[in-house]
Amino acid sequence: MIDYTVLYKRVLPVNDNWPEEVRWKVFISAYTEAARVQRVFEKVSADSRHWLVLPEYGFRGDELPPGNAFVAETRHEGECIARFWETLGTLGPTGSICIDITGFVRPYLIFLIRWLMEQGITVFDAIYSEPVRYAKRELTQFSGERIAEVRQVAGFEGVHGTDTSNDVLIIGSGYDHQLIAHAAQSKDNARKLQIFGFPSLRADMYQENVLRAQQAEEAVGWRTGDQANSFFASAYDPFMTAHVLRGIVSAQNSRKPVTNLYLCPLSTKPMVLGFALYYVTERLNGPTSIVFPFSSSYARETSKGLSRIWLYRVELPRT
Amino acid sequence: MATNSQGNPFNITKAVDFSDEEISNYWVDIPTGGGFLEMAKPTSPMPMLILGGKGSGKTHLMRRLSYPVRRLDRPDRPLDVVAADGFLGIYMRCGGLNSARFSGKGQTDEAWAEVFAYYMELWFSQLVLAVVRDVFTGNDELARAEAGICASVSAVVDGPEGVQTADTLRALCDSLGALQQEVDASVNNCAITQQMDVRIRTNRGALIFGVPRILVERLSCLSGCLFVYLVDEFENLTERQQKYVNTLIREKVSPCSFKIGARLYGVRTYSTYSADEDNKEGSEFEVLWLDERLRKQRRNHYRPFARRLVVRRLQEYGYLPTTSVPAKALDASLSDWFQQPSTTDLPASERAAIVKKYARSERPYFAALRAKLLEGMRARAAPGISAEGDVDRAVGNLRVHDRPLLEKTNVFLLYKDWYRHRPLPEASLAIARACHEFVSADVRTGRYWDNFSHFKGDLLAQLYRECDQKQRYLGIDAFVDMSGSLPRNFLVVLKHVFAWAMFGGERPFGDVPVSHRAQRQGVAEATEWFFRDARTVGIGGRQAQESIGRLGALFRAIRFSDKPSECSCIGFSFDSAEASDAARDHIRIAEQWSLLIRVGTQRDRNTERVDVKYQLNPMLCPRWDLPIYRRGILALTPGELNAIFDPAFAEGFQGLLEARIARMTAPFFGRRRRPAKRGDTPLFSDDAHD
Amino acid sequence: MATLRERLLAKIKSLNETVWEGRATEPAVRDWLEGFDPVVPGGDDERLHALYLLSNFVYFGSREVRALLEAMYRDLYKYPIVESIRKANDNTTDAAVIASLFRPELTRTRFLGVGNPAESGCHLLYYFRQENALPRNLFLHTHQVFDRHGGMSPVTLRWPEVTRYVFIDDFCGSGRQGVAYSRDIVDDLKRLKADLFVAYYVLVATSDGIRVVRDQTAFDSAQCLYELDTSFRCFSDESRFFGNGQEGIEKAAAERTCRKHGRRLWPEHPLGYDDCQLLMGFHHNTPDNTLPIIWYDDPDGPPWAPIFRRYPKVYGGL
Repeated sequence: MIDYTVLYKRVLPVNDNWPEEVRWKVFISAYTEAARVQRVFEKVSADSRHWLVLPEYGFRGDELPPGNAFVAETRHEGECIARFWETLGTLGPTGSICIDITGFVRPYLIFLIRWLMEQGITVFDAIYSEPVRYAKRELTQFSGERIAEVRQVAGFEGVHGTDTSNDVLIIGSGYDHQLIAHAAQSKDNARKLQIFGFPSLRADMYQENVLRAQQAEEAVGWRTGDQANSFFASAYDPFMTAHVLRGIVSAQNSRKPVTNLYLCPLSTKPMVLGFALYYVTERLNGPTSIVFPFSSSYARETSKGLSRIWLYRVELPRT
Repeated sequence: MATNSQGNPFNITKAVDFSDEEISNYWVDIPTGGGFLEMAKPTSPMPMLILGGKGSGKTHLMRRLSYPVRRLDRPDRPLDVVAADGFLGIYMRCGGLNSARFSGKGQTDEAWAEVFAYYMELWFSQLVLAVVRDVFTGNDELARAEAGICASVSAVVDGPEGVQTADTLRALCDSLGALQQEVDASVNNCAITQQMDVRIRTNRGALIFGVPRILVERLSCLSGCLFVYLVDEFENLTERQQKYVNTLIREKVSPCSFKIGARLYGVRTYSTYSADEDNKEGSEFEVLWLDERLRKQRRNHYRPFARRLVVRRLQEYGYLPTTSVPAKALDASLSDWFQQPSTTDLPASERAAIVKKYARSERPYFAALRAKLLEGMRARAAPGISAEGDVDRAVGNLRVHDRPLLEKTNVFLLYKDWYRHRPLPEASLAIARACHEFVSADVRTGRYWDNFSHFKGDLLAQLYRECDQKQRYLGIDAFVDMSGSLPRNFLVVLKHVFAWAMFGGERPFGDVPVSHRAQRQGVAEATEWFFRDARTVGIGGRQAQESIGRLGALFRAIRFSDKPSECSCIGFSFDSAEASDAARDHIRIAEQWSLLIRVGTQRDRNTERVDVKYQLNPMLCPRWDLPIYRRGILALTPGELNAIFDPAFAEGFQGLLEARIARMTAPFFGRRRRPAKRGDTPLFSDDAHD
Repeated sequence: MATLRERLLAKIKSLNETVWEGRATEPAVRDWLEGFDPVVPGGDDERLHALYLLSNFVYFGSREVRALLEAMYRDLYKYPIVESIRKANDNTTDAAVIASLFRPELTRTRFLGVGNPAESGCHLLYYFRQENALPRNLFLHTHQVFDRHGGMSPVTLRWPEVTRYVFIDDFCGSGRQGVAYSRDIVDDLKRLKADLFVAYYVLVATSDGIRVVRDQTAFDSAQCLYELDTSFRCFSDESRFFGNGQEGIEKAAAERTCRKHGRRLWPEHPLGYDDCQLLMGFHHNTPDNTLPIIWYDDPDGPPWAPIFRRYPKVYGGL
């Protein structure tokens, strides 16, 4: 089995030019008003660059970016990505692809990973840009108040069994404690485990994260930070996240076989990428699903500045 | 000795984590007939909808009915248990179906309805077969009949070979499981391929009703046995999917029945696919409102249960010895461990503190009274008061130096008399006499006693506020009562109280009682959790929550007014016909989320008017400094009701609140001010309230 | 409905229960606040501002520090080596191949702590080794690096086969220590063997500090897991702790409070060493770059009850 931690990751310069060899055939980014997303879009060297405009941000016609901007009409992640993909043209056998995951609404990003795999893509690059800080620190609101439903993400639906005696839900806990609580409540009888992004993106973020997550403590069922039920994975590292997930699941299974496994990535985009990577690599076609509390809207801009740009080379299994 | 490292004994609050012993004790206490089993009527063929709020123990009740738990009574001879019970509980959680995936992906709703129905057939039948296999442990009737059963079952399934050739229940079950996985694979891949090719191999009901029927026909040990499908987490199904289950209920075939477990907000529809007819309560199903039933039946039993629960937790976590001290003594110590307030008056120390604090100034309620009397005097709205000397005397009569609560009562009575236009100097003398009599002769009847006993909770609350102190929600009984018969709420309160005590460096359950401060903070945090946690998914939830905020503000304004119209008022009534649709909607949502509790319906014999009564959930009351016990009910006008519960009218809320409170506020009590001429009698009539 | 003071206390309680390892119970906070003056009319509410600052303190407990040490090894040390192995071998992901090429690199590495053996850098080495399951022989004291032959012949490298020297520390504030080590050890190392790779890895560094080490020393690589920019400097213009519109809290008042008491406690550096003005601490110690009002604890000095005490480097001086 692959060791996720050897996969390539590097930091790209914020101000200086990027090395010559850092270029792609196709570049995709999800449009938001965050300055860092737009800056990266401009900086990238690619044969073609594409914006994906997601409905949850509520952009009006006059707010759209110039250039290739696909406006998603459907809110279903599967249909949206499939239609978007049609507009990209053929990638070709040597075509390289890069995705800026920063602005994505999580379920779309998750589905996209499965989609890429189904298209036979075995390697792609992902960019993630870090902000300097969030707008209101621990009071930052992310998702709109109207959480529509908790359901499986398309492409990440498992084949579950009738025995639910040892179900486990692993939550990648982010700042939005309401989402954590909703996800936890949707799988009331499952044992909940939490992964916190640590080391975090900035020094004070882990602490803020835990403070927020504590508000969902009743739903999760354990004292927040309980060592037996909470784990760390680097907030900026999808590969470490996948690695940690593998370790957790393996440990749980050796204590008592898990009847149904549910994963819910609510934290940073790199961690979301890690959850998706772990799933498509090791948990397809089994009793594992990625579930998500879908919101009907998301706040557009919750961060300031650009402090670091990560580049990950993700390797997917062959279908 | 308690230390930090032993942890918070109340950290685990969910019923799903209670020990079986805790749960069996909880349920055993129910006084009627056979206890909890009776309540759920497991042998009744009439389907039942079991509705419970969070923490009501609904899941536990359903699981107690399920075969794996019933079987614990006689693990070696499960058939005897089934024979004695007369029913077989097949438990399933709708959440396990992950049924939201049966939608969209480029397929029609009709196609999904078919697939979902088929999936349910496969799911239910696997459960039934697995249970029956276990039932016949140690009995060979099954072994003899097995092949025949399999043949009958496979006759209603179209292929495949695995199903057709199975001759044991196990093999049959596995084959049906394989069919289920086929459906899963197809449904899941549909998201990628936008194509679905599920082959529906059986008709609706053929397995769900067919398998139990076949089993009962071929196994004499099961004859007369009712197969009860315990379908929990109903709220996890979409409306269409619920419609399908409703259809199964409507078209049910012997020997099957259903018990559907849902959250209070969980039922999206009663409609069915049988000509779109609705299932009706009383004809197709009956309803068990678990919360309400628990509240009513358990009043006498819940308190002792809750106290025992605490003791057991403390023993488990090493704060209490397990054997040496008798349970009764431990139970008694519970009261000692929490600083308890007196319910009759302020403790002597607090009285002394107030006396000291205002040694050099007027006590705040007298200062306020004085100011109002002066204002009233100037506007000629204070009967009998025409000079400052009158004010001094009126106030002076009401003093009882070391009994601030009695002073408050006196002031309250004076406001009441004032409202009734009684001459105030005489009124204040009469009050002073009555007060004196009350104190010296310990009179328990009459006006003074009535008002004191009814309003003392509110008057104490006012006193605390006026003296810059926080409200009190103290003592283990208060926590129990706040929780409204739901152990989870109770544990959450204790959890936070304990956490605050530990943070404060206290040593709870040791020699020193848990401080007021820790109790107060703990209660506040538990209340906040309850309010916040009820913020619902979807439309209407937020607005319902905001409505509750307005309601709480109204109750608070009443409680702290000069002359509250109701005592201990956390309930309201209204004419249901006059409420706007949106208001009715939000009230319904608030009830579903247990923010409001319905306390009654009154039908007026003459007018056909139906008045509905609700109260705030006591878990919420501390948020607005309200009492947790309900006494008075506030009759809301239609305008007020809509202003509270309908956002379209919310703008008018503040004005309506002020108008109502004005009637409880001296010196004018809401009457319009006009220059009064000597000898005038007031033109405006009084309200009915007093 | 709760006052600001109550909300701050509730936040501290939450932190205390989750990540602060119970270090800031209410009695401890009360004792600490006693060091500040009570409110006088027209004056600053010192205690309220102190409470506010405390509620923003960033603390890394034992579990977190271990996780950081693991991340340091994995991301700062190991990954670059693995990356170059992969690139030199056709981007292989074969775990056996990578391991077989990584092992010799590891055996030719030595890890050292910054500061003398009693200081936190060396203390951390122990946990660094444990968390990453590394053999003992990879760890050295600085005096073991060179062979001085009793002063008789020129100094040589005691372990000539070593290709990498990695110095680790918990905190880099001014960069002064890195500069000192560079001068005292790294220059000599490089002189004796020019192609040695010498690295300086810290858990947390200020931007200024790490820049100093990068620009002014001979270290081939100076990296940190957390870089603190000027927004972490409590009273800077970009301070992340103020400017959130928090009513009742004024940056100037907070600064006045800290300076006033800081001047008593540590006259040379009233707002932390080198005027770093930080609010950060670790399970094992609080850096002196943090505001002294947080950590000051000297039995021979002015009376003060710290809230996250610092174990002084110098006891009475020798």
